[in-house]
Amino acid sequence: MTSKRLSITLAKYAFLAPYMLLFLAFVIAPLVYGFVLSFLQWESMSPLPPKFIGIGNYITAFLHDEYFWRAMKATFIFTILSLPITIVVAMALALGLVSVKKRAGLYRAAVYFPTLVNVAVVGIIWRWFYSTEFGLFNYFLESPLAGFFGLEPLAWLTSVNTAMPSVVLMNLWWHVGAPAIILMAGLFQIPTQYYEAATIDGAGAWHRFWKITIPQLKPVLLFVIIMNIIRSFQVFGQTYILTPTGGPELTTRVIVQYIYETAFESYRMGYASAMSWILFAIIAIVSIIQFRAMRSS
Amino acid sequence: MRFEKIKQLPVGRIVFIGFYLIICGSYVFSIKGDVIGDEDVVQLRFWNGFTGRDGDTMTAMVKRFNAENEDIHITVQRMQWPTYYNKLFVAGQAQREPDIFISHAKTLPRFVRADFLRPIDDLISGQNGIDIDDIDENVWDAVEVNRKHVGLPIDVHPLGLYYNTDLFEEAGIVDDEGKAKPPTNLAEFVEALEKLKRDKDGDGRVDQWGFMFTLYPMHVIHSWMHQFGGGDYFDEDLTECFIDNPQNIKAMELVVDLVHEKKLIPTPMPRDTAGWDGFKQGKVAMFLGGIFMLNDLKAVEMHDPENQIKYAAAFTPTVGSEPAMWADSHVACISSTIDEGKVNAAWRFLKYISDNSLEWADGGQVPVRKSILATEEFKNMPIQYAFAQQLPYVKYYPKLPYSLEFERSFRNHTSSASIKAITPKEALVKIQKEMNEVIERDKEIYGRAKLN
Repeated sequence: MTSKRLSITLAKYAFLAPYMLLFLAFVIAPLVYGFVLSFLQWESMSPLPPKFIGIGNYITAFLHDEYFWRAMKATFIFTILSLPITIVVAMALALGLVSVKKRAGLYRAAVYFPTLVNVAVVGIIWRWFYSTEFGLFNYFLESPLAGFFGLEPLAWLTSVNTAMPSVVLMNLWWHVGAPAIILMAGLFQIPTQYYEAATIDGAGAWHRFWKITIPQLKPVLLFVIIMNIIRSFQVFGQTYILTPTGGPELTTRVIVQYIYETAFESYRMGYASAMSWILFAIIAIVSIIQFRAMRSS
Repeated sequence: MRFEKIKQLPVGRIVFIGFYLIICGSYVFSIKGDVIGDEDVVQLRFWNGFTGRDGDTMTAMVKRFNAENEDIHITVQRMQWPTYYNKLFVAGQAQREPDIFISHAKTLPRFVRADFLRPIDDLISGQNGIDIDDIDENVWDAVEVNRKHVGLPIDVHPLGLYYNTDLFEEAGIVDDEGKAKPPTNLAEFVEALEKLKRDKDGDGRVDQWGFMFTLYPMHVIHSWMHQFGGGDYFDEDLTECFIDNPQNIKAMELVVDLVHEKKLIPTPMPRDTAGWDGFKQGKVAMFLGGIFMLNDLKAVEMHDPENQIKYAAAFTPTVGSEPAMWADSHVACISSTIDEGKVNAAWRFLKYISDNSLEWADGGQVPVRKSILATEEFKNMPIQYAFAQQLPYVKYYPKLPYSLEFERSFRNHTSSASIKAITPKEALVKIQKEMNEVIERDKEIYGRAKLN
């Protein structure tokens, strides 16, 4: 190897080194440590040493802990409710952003802006919106106009039926900007000739959307869907700020919140690690299936 | 020629490096002066979660202690309570905890189990001790774990009633002299709720409430459970939870009745501060809260005196058969890993805070030393004094090494019942079931249910 090639090789690794070191220290090392912990019974707020219990923590989660399953159910419900609505609204916004010509930057910034706000701030604002007696939404729902349409005030966060949809609605407002901008970028990549040709052939807007936009946007769409599913499985801040007690009847206590409570309120580090690894495995499996689907398409 | 060479020197870089070295050097020396210091001076690290006005009071007390005790230097670190406990716990795990720290009484059993605390019985009864009879019995009992007192309580914060005197007088809830009369029993409480719930502008919406829950209704529910004669949730040996009993159901049914049947109290939204905010704005007439809320009222008084409401404090109304109210305490603790040579210095500091707890009271707290509670100065602090009258009846949460798990279970299910997502009976069954599971798990791990 010539000295020039050697120095180029070294330079490549030198550029990568800072990130890789941090990645090893703050991602890989805790991941491995957590995996080891998941086989231990470790009540960290105790002088007792950690005890190896094999797959005991995994068995507890799958067979003996009803709250684990309830938290998983809440997480799945959040994902199932939030994914389609986020994709549909993001797509609608993206189509709008693509067609707007005047002050396009302003509209893009407006759509993206909520995602820049911290989840704690968003949560506190929306808690006020949802307040049963003093909230903004119920203020409108109590008005004569709303009454004319048969609308009534809702117990947004305090009813079993409305708590999770309320979290989803807040999440939509907060988060939809990011997928909308990605989809918009994807829409810009579609050659306009396709639309021109289709229009000449007499295709209407509906046909153009289903026959050109969707197929051409498929890779971007799949990427957005995968990222949203991963994000939905990891939901925590939104539910925790809006419904700190896990909502009525724990309907909004998602798995990450349950893991957090197990680790930092019950100090059961081994069990919390096992649940984290189960969540990690679920996300990994779902992602692999989707990436496969993406590749085959 | 030589001058030419000097001219070529990178003057800018030299100046920059020079400044850099000076700044670094002065920082290193400042650390040395502050932390390492004189070898004859005992250095102690003290952590607490007092970040409001109480934090300023505590810091001022520490400064004065440092000035008055040249052989001891206390370095304070203060942070928000939620962050504080996690940091303290992690520091303890790494055996880097501070020499002295503040804990709430309810957290002590957890720290005992983790072996974080040095008992103070030998120190309090030693030469430079404190007369134990001078400490309120209820509070002194709250810091006893496994027959050892594991910290020195510096205050007690019971639930008490704040009420807006103007709104009371406006609603005609007055005594013979025409002064606002706070409710003392259930009938008076309900009557006050009825009179104080008002639609002032006639738009069909309630814009003034008699009472609202703030944050979580759990402290009020805990108080009411004790008032109805329930309240003792576990047996003495912690082998069983029996929170599901008729008295506790009755207490919870009262919450549901007042909120959902009589509609005299708005539905409590967990962690909602609307009740407290409403009280400060004059839209909520009564508030059941801790003495620590006083600082918030004083802050309004300081920054916005024109909009300051007129308020007073009173005994928590007895809605059941006997007076009882939730309480907790800030407890000054000494780390179990402290150098033996530093123990006396640490104790001197703890005693100093206790001896000077009148100043602490002025910072918005209720002291626990009877001699201080009896002083004229303390009696002239009307809110603190009103809260202090409740000391014989205070009820702490049970002493549990799994206090956070109990609190979470209690908070979540009582919140669910108060919004009518489940019935009071269901809530108590759930808490009981969860806690009995925790007890069983604890037995499996430790071989016994009691501490240690």
